[in-house]
Amino acid sequence: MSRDETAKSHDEVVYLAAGVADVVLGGARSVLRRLPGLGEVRRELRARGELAWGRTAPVSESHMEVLARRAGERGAPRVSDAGE
Amino acid sequence: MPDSYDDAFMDALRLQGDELADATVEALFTGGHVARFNTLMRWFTTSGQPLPDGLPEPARDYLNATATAPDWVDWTMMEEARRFFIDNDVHISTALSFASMPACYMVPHVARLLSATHSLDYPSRRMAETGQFTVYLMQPDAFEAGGRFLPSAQKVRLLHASIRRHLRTAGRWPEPVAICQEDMLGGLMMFSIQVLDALHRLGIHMTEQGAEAYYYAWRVVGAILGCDPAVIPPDLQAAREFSDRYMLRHMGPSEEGAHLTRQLIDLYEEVVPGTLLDPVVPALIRFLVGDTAADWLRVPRSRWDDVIKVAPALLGVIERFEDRGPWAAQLSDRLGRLVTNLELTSLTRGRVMHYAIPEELKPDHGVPATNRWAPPPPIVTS
Repeated sequence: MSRDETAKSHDEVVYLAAGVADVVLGGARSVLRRLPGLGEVRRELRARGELAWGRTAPVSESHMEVLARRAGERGAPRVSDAGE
Repeated sequence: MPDSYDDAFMDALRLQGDELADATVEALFTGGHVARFNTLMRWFTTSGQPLPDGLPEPARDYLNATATAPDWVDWTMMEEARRFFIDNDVHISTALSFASMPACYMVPHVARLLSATHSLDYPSRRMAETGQFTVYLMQPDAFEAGGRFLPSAQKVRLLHASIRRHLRTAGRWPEPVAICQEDMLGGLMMFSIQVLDALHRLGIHMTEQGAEAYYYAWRVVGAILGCDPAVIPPDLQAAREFSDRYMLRHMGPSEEGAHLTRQLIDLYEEVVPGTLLDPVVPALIRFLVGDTAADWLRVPRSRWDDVIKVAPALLGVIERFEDRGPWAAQLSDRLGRLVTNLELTSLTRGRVMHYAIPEELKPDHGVPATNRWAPPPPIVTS
């Protein structure tokens, strides 16, 4: 599997999980009543997941990551210097 | 507060220790009182307890001078902080464990000091106990007779002073002062504003009032632990400045940092039941501190690195679940307390004593997070 495909399948898992969580919260009954087939359930879950993800996922990256990158650019010793 | 925390200002802080505690330790050593002091102090654990008979004079003076909280403490703010802590107990202890502890290890000379002075005595414990001060601090009786917070702080200050003295006299430290003011304040930042950064990263809703109160409580802790109150950053914006400046000045990889991180991860993996969930710990650290620093600390990568990104969404779900009613809030509170206990207990190898979240503020719990607060962005450097 290429790196891109791996990333995609990870996204799928993440969105599905978020979707499941969202359905549980939103009241599973009302959703399931409207959905006849498994394929559709999956699509619905994924769509809901993407929306839930967009609502709650952090918009910013780790603050420490910003600093660490900057420290690295300014010449903090490289990882290999720490003695791999 | 100075105009800016520039290198000259920070360099000056590297030459300062903790005057009062240093003088006390010096007097105890030169008078040959150390062994007697340690024996007598063993049973001195709570505020209001009479000082043991036969204490050397310098120790008695020090303990009297530091027996109460600073007189400038605003108790309304402390009450607010306690509420913030109760509302976010599990998230705060997660942040302390998986963001603050690794942050200590990201500063090579701090990692070196921890390894050098505690390699035989479980190195993570020292810093972990500092984190635990929040827990002691948040007890309703923290500053009253019977509270354990002040006596433990009094002892920690002397411990730091004695490490400073040992390293200086043995010529084992490359700088004039070990555990200097800059490092103590840097540590304070890791447990305060950097915890708020981690909460933000986890998607936790915070109010400005709550965040400010949490930071305020840490300013009080800092002063009690020997930071110079005149230099402790006065508000969150100043804390952002100081914290970023400190990290940028010192952060980087080190052999000791990687080693301590490995120990920390092992420790947690021991307490997480089974092996299936073991990779969650490194994944959570990586999520909170970011890839660059995680690579410095050699935090192992795993498939969980992607899965853990759901954490904020899940926490959001829990938050909404809690809104469903008292039974849901109660259930999630119980789970939360279990996790908090597990995290902090494992950090100190079960040496946590009297760990209990105060009960009486619970009715106030559940104030909706209006005006969501986010930490100030990273400072701009030239």
